[in-house]
Amino acid sequence: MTTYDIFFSILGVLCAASGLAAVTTRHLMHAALWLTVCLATLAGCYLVLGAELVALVQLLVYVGAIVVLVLFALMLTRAPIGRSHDHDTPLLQRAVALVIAGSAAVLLGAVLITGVRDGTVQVHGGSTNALARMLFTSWVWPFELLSLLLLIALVGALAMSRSLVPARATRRTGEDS
Amino acid sequence: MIHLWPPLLLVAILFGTGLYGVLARRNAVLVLVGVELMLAAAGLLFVTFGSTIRDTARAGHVLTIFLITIAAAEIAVALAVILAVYRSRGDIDVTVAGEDDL
Amino acid sequence: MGTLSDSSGWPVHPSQLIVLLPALAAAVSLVLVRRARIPAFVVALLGALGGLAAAAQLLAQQLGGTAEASSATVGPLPLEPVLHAPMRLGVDRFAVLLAVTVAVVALVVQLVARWYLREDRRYAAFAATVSLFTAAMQLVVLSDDVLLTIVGWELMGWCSYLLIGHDSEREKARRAAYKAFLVTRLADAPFAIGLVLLATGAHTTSLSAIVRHWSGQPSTLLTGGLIAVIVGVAGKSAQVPFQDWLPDAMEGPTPASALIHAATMVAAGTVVLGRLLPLLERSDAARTVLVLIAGISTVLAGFLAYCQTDLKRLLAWSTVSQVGLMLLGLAIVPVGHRADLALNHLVAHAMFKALLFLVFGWISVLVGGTVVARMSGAVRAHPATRALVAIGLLSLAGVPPMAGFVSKDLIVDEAATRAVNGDGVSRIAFVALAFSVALTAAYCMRAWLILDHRSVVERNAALEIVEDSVTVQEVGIVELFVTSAQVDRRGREVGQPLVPIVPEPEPEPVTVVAPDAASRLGLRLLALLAVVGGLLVTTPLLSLDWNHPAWALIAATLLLMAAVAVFVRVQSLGTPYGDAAGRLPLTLRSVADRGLGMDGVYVALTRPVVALARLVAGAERGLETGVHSTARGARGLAGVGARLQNGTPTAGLVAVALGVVAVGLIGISLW
Repeated sequence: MTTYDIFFSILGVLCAASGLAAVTTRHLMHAALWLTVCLATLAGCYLVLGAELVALVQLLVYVGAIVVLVLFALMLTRAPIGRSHDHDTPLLQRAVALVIAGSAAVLLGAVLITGVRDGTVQVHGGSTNALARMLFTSWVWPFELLSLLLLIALVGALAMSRSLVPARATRRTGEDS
Repeated sequence: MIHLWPPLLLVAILFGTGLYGVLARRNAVLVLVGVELMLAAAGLLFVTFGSTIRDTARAGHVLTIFLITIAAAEIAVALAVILAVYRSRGDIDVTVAGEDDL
Repeated sequence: MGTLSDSSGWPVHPSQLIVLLPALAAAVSLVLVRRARIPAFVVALLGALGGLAAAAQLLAQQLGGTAEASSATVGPLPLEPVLHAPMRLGVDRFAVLLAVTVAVVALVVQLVARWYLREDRRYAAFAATVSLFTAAMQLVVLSDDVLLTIVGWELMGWCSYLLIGHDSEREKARRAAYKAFLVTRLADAPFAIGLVLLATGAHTTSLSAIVRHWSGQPSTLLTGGLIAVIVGVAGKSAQVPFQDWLPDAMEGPTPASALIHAATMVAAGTVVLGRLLPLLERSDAARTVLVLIAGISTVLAGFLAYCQTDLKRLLAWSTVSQVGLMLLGLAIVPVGHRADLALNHLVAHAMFKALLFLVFGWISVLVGGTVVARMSGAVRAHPATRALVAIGLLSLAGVPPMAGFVSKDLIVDEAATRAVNGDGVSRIAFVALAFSVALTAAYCMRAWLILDHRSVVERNAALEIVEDSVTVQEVGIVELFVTSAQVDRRGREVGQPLVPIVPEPEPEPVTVVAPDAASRLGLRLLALLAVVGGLLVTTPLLSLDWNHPAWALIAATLLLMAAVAVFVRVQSLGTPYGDAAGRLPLTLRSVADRGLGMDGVYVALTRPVVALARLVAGAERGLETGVHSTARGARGLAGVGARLQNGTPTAGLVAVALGVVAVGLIGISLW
């Protein structure tokens, strides 16, 4: 056990536990908040792995933006506050889901863990400088493409939230008349 | 120095948790939470190998940043869809068949 | 076509025109004048006349010695290293004479067809088909290339189908057309195989080159190829065992029969074999096969002709017999000689047989049928046909000085000479010829006696009885007893003045238009040629030894014919229609009418094939059921899937996730 291992284990346990809580909690709002915890601890894991910039981006984008979006979505869809079983699928499907998810996890873990050599490896993260240089030299075109993607997503989201309004209006009037 | 198995184990657990969330949740927003967990697992995998493999292009870290960006775009569109569905249907329950499906 | 090949200033060679003009007439007629009668006739006539003119020019060139030996058609095919295919027409005495003959017959047939089919709506199609048929035959006649021969040969088979089945509304005509097509087609297969064998062996499709190539050592391949060709020829020429289609082909209009029988289709075999004659002389096996086929055909067909109750079928069987004679003439030719014996008989036969068919067609229109009962006494009632029928029958029987006599006697003479010299094939041929001569005389005499029978008085008496019976029929049986006056034994009222019954002299309405002047002129031309055609042997076109006749043989032949004629005359006395065959047993006649039941044999031969086809059809049905049940299974599976798909998104998600995990598991376990 190295120091890295210890730190990572602590954060990893927290992360896994909060992830589990996020998908099992009966409070809708708690799910979003547990997700926040999970993603934040994951950012800690990134730090342990020496990826400071990624950890920062994770915090900024995920915790700062995405979770807020999720919360907004929950509120906009008038999610009930308080414990409720209505958020979960029937028991049978949950059992099936558990089996599938468990087997997927086992499969993935088995493949990944048996796929790498045993023993410790050197972490050589750090160097935000180098990362930034790579990002704006080798990866600049994908980077620009991503900015385009974000723009398209933005426009798409706007269009999506606008386009159905008239349809709903007509349907309402149709029902009323 | 770090053992590789804890991060990889965490990847598997996060992915399984996310998958369970996708399958076991009825509220579409919570389904999205599951999806986010699976994406996070993928990101962790990228970072793990990006940090432990000597790579001058820093692909692991760069791709994780990209992944986060894409996740942001995805969640924006997905939430727009959910809102649109909610407005036209009145609920976002994925166990209820849509009007077009039956 | 139409390559500029002639140096004499003409844009095209006359031999090309001979083929092209009738083909062009057919095409023009089919494209432009499908309905109109007069334009169709004009086009067909122009085609026939043009063909005849070209043939005549070629004849003049040939006599003058200026004819080119060959002319191009589509140019050589690009098969060069494998096969030399020059695709040329060959012009020699043989081809020129035949081309003229075919052109003459085709012209007369076109002239008569216009009158004969004057009420047929599809006359234009008929005329076009006749033109195409003529073109095909001319192609076979002039072809110096195996491929062209096969093209012409197939075209003729197709056209014969159209011509025989012209009255396609009648079931019998359709059946006859199918039969002719299928039987000749069956024989075409060995024909094509034989020609291909010869052509590939010689690495060329040029007939003359093939003859040159194989003229060396006799070989088994040559014999095989020749026998295959002979079988094909037997099919097209209606020889045993394919003879049965020809009499059935009488269902076609009479001009078509005249064309098919006289100059074209059945003679085509003789033409092709005549071209290959130098090879035939090298293979005794092929000669034996040929002489057996032809000998059996000529005797059998002669006998059947004698027994027929339909005079048109009599002519058909006589054609089979006469074509057998031609083939015998080919089989007995001495080594090194040309096919002139057969050619001479072919030309003579073309003339008199076309004449006979067309005149019989004329008579049949007048008397309303070709069965013995109808035809009886026909030439007495219609004297205009008398001389033409007489000339035709005399020529067919081979009475001097008709063309038929000259050509037949030369064949008999040659066969006798070679038989005496110890040639086995010629001996068989001679025996067959002797029978054939006697039988020909017999059926010709019989036909003449029927046609010349004094039966009008009897017929009128019969008509009166029919008339009376009609009167009886009109009396109601109840009225007869209750109200009507007393009647005499013929149903006429007693005491009433007798209504004189005027029997019609002829059963046919008198509105039948007599053949027009052009048709009569054509028939007279044929008659003239049938009489003087024998003079052909004196021209340089045929190299036959005609000025040393064996007088004893001729006398013996004539005596035989006279004896047979007297016998037939005696037989005919006292029969209802002057029909000598009326004394034959009825079963024999009915069997002969059915062509010895060859139909049954054909059907029996096809039975295994049909059984196989049924088997295949059954298997296919089983397979189909299998395929259908597969579809049912798939549909059932789809139904299960559709029931499972309840439209909820999450159920789909579960399924997809399950699938992903399963695929991952499979991938890893296979890795």
